[in-house]
Amino acid sequence: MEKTGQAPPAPQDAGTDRFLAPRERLDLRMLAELPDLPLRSRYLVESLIKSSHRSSRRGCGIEFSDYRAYQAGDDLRRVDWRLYARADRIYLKRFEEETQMRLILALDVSASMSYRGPRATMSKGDFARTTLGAMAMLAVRQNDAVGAALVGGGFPDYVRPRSSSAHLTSVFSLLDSDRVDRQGSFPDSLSMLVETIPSGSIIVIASDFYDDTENLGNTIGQLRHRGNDVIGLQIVDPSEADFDLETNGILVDLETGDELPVEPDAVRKQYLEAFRAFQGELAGVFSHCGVDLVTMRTDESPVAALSTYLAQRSTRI
Amino acid sequence: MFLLAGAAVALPVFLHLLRRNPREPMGFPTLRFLKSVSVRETKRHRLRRLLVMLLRCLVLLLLAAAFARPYLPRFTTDTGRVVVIAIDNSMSMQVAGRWDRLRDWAIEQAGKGEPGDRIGLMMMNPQPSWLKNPNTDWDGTLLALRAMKPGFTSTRYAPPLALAAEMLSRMPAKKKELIWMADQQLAGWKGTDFSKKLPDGVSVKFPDPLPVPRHQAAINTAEWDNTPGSRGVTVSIRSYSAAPDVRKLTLLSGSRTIASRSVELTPGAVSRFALPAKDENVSSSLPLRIEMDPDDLPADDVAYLVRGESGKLSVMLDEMPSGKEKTDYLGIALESSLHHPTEPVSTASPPQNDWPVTSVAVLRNPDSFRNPALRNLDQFLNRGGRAMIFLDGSPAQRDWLRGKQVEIAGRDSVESLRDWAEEHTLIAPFAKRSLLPLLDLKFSKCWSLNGDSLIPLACWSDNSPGIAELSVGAGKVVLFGFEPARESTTWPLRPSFTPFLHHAVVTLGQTAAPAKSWKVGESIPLEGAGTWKTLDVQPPAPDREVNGSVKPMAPGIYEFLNDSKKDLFAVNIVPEESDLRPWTDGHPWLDMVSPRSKNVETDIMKPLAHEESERQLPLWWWLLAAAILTLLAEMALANRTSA
Repeated sequence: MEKTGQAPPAPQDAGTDRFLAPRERLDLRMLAELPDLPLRSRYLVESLIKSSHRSSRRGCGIEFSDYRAYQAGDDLRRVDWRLYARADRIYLKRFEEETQMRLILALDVSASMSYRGPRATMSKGDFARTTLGAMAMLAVRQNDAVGAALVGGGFPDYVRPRSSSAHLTSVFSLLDSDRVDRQGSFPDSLSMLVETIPSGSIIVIASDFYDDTENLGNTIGQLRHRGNDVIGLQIVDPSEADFDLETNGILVDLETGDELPVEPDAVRKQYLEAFRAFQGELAGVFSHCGVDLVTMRTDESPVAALSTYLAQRSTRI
Repeated sequence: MFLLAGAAVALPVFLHLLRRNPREPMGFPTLRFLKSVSVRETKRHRLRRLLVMLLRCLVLLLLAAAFARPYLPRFTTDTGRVVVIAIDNSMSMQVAGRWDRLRDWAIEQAGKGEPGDRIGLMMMNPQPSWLKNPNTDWDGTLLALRAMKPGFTSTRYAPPLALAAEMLSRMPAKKKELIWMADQQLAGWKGTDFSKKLPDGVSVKFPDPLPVPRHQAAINTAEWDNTPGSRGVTVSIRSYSAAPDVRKLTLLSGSRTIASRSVELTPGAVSRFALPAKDENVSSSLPLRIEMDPDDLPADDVAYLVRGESGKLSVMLDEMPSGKEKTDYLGIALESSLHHPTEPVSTASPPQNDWPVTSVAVLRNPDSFRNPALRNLDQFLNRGGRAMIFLDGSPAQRDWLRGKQVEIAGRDSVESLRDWAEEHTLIAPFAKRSLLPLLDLKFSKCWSLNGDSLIPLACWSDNSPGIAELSVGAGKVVLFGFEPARESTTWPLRPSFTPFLHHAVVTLGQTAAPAKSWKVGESIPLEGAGTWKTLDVQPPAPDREVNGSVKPMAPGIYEFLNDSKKDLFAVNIVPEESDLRPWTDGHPWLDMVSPRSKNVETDIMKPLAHEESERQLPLWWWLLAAAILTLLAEMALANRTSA
């Protein structure tokens, strides 16, 4: 049942921007050239179709939902006395409560997120920031509380969730930080947030997840165990996905600094096989935890992925 | 040229090196997907690229090699046995029992052929040639040898021995044998360089020299003497026997006996005998046959004779030069020869065209060296004509002589001729009596002759030739370095002028007239095409059409018929072949065989001849096919490396 906003529009085409009219299609080059994160996020939001979502919690709202038989200890103020007078049975009235949703945006600030391939308009980190910023802006518009965290190799930076518009500035400020972690484990850093994040939050994690998948699965399991909903946004550069480097050279691992002489023509096939195997393994880990994983390429519009996700999310609520 | 194209291999090498990009460090999010395979695959990829480059180089090299059609010596491991029997088919092998004995010896030496063995027959005479090429039909080849008979030619052993050994050495076989079926005649080995080694790997089996027949004599020459009172045939016979011998000599015309007499032959000497033919018609053109009692070699006991025509010798004398003295001494001298009792000479002006080569041209007019007479002169000489030319130093003569590499130079002083060539046929009759009449001649206007091809007959005081012989084409010219005029020389007034001139003309005329007597194996020139018939030849041969020349291989009387005329030819054996003495000075031919070849089976790995290698192995197609296959492999591999 829709409370506010609109239902998701019917798909217009099968393309990546299938939820946008042609005039609304996102110009990634323009998005990348916008000077700061709030502007990029706003531009993205304007391009995104607003969606609403229901609260899964029931409480003291004004919309009647259904009846439930009285049980000892229930609040007598919720008893429908008129029904008791007619049916001589004690029932409690239940109402749908419109509650605040807490959205925690976790951004991976490990060194690998700073990579930008020759075909991408922005780095993986900037792409993730823009996407998360847009989500933050959306959440505030819907009166949801938004918090943010920078997760990398060390102790995470964290901004608690609040729903005020002024708080959005703090979120953007944190997301726009130039922190880059070259050491440490992303799952370990994320697990430090488990106790900090209030239960029942929606946690959106933007990362490339180039870490130990088993450890990552454990951390996400902990978050899920505390009643949080988790959404994984895997950010990949097209050069990573296709491995279409044209020149021979020495590849330097941005996180470890390891060097490896590589002839792309020679190893492309084996790289892609290994990459797809990792993708499958990662999808298995998230699926095992009951968590959606959305893979986003930095040369494609994030709107489509977000809309698709939000639409799926909406149907699940 | 095409091999130079092989330098194009530098191109793929250059391209290979060009692709080696500089190794610049590039950041990448993670190497976790590369570490396990990168090093291995990069090495493998590098190897593939190297292989592609090598394949490209190979393609270019193969193409260059294919188009260059290089000679690659093909080595072969020889197997089997090859035998060549060199057959002395000369007349000396007709000695009773000699052919059969040597043939049986050769067949015994050849033995039995195993499967794959080859045997060939090579005839030595008149030139070495294959009667049967080496083949595997052992029995058939030996049968051909049994059916063969010796001929009438003479022997020269060195060329067939060298050729047979050389050809054997080129044949792929483990054992190469040359069987020398010859009577080891002394005349056959004459002139052989025994120090010259035969090729390695060829063993030669020589028979022992055969003994001299006890009873052997040969008719060397038979000449018709037409002198009145002594008309008949003079026969020259040489005896090779050790003891005096008495033979019966018979002169026949067809089947009719004209004369017959007994003659006694002196051992080892040449004897001349006359067979008078008083009753024989002088003008008869029937051929004659002279027979002697047969001995161990009957082939040389018969001689054939065709009498030449007894016509006058024709001389073509050109006109006297204008503006000179009026007395034509030369013409007078030649005309006087018309009445010579035995050798009359008729004189006439040269015809407009086609000067007959049987005539002798006597020229002194400069116009004879200008067209059209000049064209006739050149044709006449090229066809074998004979000429006498008296020099007057005119430009036309000088130009003509210059074309024959002869220069003339005028002399200022009064000269005499000396250093006469006493052996020359022109001078010999005078030299036999006295040269004094020729030594006191005076020449006030004369020219010396200079040229490498001149044969001096007499010289001036500075030893430069004054009279010389010159060969022009097939013809012959006698050059006189003076004019036959009284203002130039005193010779026309001397008694020696007319006899010298007559003798010179007759001598030249005799050499110009086509010979009627030939030897076996000689090439007889004929006038055009016609039919060649055997009249008295054993065994008779069928008529055959010939054109230009013919080479009879058996003695006898032959007839040549064409549209215009009929000619008879007597062909006799070569006298040297009748000398049956064997080589007695050891066995030097054994020294010619390489020591490595004597009774040794050779398994030398030897290259075949160029042509043989190329014929047996079409290298061109193999190289091209290899180039195409390599190109396909390169394309497949290049696709993988660039994928």
